[in-house]
Amino acid sequence: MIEVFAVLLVTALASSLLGVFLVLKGQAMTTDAISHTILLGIVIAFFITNDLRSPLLIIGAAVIGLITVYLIELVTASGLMKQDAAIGIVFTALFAAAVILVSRYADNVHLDIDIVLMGQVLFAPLNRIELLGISLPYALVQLTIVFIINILFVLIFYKELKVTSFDPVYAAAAGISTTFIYYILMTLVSVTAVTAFDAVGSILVISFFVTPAITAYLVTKRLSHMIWLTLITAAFNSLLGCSFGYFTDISISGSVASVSLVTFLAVFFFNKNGWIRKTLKTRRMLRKI
Amino acid sequence: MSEYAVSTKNLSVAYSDKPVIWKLNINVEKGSRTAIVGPNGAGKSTLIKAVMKLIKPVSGKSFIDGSTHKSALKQVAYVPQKGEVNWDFPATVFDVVLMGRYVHKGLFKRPDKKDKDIASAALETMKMTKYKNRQISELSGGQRQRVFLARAIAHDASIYIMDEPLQGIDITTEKLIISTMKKLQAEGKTFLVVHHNLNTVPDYFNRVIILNKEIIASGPVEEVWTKENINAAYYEKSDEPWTS
Amino acid sequence: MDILTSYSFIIVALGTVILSAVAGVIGSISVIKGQSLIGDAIGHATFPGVVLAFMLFNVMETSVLVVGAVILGIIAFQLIHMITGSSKISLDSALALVLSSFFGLGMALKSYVQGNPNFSGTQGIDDFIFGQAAYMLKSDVYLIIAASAVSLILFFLYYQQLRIYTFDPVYARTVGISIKFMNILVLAMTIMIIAVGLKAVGAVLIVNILIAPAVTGTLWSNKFITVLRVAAATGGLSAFIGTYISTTFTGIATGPAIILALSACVIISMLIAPKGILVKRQRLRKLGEAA
Repeated sequence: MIEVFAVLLVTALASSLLGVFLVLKGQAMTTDAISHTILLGIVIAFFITNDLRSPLLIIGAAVIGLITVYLIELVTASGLMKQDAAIGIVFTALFAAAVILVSRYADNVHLDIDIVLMGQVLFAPLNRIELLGISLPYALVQLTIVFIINILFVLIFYKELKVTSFDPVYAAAAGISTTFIYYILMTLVSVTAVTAFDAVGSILVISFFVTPAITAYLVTKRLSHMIWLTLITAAFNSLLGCSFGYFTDISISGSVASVSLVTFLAVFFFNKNGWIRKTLKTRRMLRKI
Repeated sequence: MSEYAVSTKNLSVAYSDKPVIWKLNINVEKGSRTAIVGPNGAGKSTLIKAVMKLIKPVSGKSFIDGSTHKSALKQVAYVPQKGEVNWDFPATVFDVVLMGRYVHKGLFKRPDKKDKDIASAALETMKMTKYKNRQISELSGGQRQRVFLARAIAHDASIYIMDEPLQGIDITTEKLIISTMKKLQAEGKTFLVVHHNLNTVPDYFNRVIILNKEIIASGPVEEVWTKENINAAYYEKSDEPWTS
Repeated sequence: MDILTSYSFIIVALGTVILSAVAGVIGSISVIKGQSLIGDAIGHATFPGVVLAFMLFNVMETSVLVVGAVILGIIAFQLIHMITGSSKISLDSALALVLSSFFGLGMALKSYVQGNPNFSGTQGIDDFIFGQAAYMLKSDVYLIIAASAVSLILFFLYYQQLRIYTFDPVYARTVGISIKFMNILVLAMTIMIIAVGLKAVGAVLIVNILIAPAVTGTLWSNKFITVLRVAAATGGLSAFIGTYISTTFTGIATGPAIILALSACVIISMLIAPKGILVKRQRLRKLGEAA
């Protein structure tokens, strides 16, 4: 149970940290696209290696993640359709290709659809690795490494991330390459999504990326505060969701995603500038008139 | 070193396949306050974006201080239109002004004490010190524009390129921006400003470029700011050279 | 040619062709308005509705489950509307939130149902995630026909208003068109098509049949009616090709096959359509030469 929670917690922290910048850049739905299309990368890499634990799977997923982002940019830049239509078409096409590949050629392997969609965090501790004489869940080690990489990324590129998210035009004019930062960010999003894949699957990882960040966004006024509050929210959601899922014996990642929505809505309604205060204020004003 | 801060040579830009500006040759004198005026859709913002290398021209070149290289842009402080950024971004007034120093900081380097002093001084110039720790979403239109100009001052560039800085702001801010502009010009800085209010052109600027897809007129205000030129840009339908 | 006349192929093809053609028409509004991904969020959000309906009535009857899907779709849309309308959260963040957490809720409920011996025949739930067109029944096709007919009738009943609302909402208001009513109308048509399409295409990929035909349409013309015609034709044709391929080759699901066929249409149109890359490049080159 503790190990399951640890895996979930690190997943939540690693993805929500990047989620802050995805939300601020208005790229939340690009995550949706990436988290789907990395399946294609995993499938193709799996055909090459025949090993579901091969590091090549991560590389394959990262490459497909980047291709997804690049394709979306390319199609959007061509001016032939709007960005949201481009996202919708690119990701469904690549995902459809992955589904066909799995069902036609990999029916006998264990690429179960349920696990693709929601992972199976309960199984995570079964797959273990020896590290300095201690036996640890493989997923935990992998995710911790990814989390550390993400932290380093944010520390090193903090000011670049800040200015390119706030004012990309000014940043470009000031010689800070928005594109460069964006592609590193998206590479890390792909890598994080694929390592989180086993634990939480392809759709629920979107919730891990986005939900804590927008919850914090509602109430913070500084980027540094937003980052801290995002991490705290992510940890809180994991703890609550994990316990709830564990004791009611339902899908743990599904439970965390549901709890995250409840946390968000609680903040949305009840914070001091929240929906309830705003609505009451409007009512009062209307009555005066 | 060139005698012009900004210049273009046969610069043409098209969105998808519609030309927006056509074979522009402009020369912005160093140390001038140059206005770009013209009706909606004349390509004013497009011209600026092409100069800032934010969009690619179909043909022609643009120069910053005689150079076509991207690194020359470091001499330019760009003030975008207010609507182009997300004002709900979690940042304080001081955070935004400090961003003006980022251009001088390489990778791994955070703004230091000196940068913070420069940013504070820029805030003081724009009379915004009092709002230093305020979140940017809580600012009025005029205050937002002051923050942008303070950021440009913190940038400490020799050329200021601004896109409609006086749009939708209060009169106090407008006066402050113009007096700051004149003060900085006296120190040798160059201003290239997209401007929409025709009445104030002679008071605020000493040179003007009148644009409507092509250059209608350009030069010192006292020479080219005439009724004929303004009418030519605003009221006569320009014939489209690209269809001929 | 046996396939073309086989009973099961005719059933499935009839259902998917009608569905995709009508989805192309309805989806055009969202695509032109730049709200394509709302369909994605609603598509995912319908899934817990399917599971809830199953839990309440314990039957695997599409017509019952569709009701649950519609209700959750409406709740999801209202939530998105409320969040973006009264906070600084942007549309794409709100979509990602609703999409992932509603789907997570569906997954949590599904795991509860499937681990509970009181519910039987729970396997069918999975069909709604990726679609299982091969298992489509005659009654499923009737449902598609009914929903499509209602949507199309509504669409052409309000055709003029919808056209103005799509291209110029500001003008629409000045001529007395209720934006609120138009929003509800578009939402109702979209949710209806998504709900009946779940079994054929699945919650995850359904957004594609709302976007891809419409995008193809916009590449061929600026005229609304032509866009709609091209979208309907592209949707119908791709559905037919996709269904044919999936029936001919084993291990190719119908939904993904239709989507790949649609993607091929989009790519071809991006290249050769009158508003496509090749024509545009030609004109730009001429412009560059003239400059």
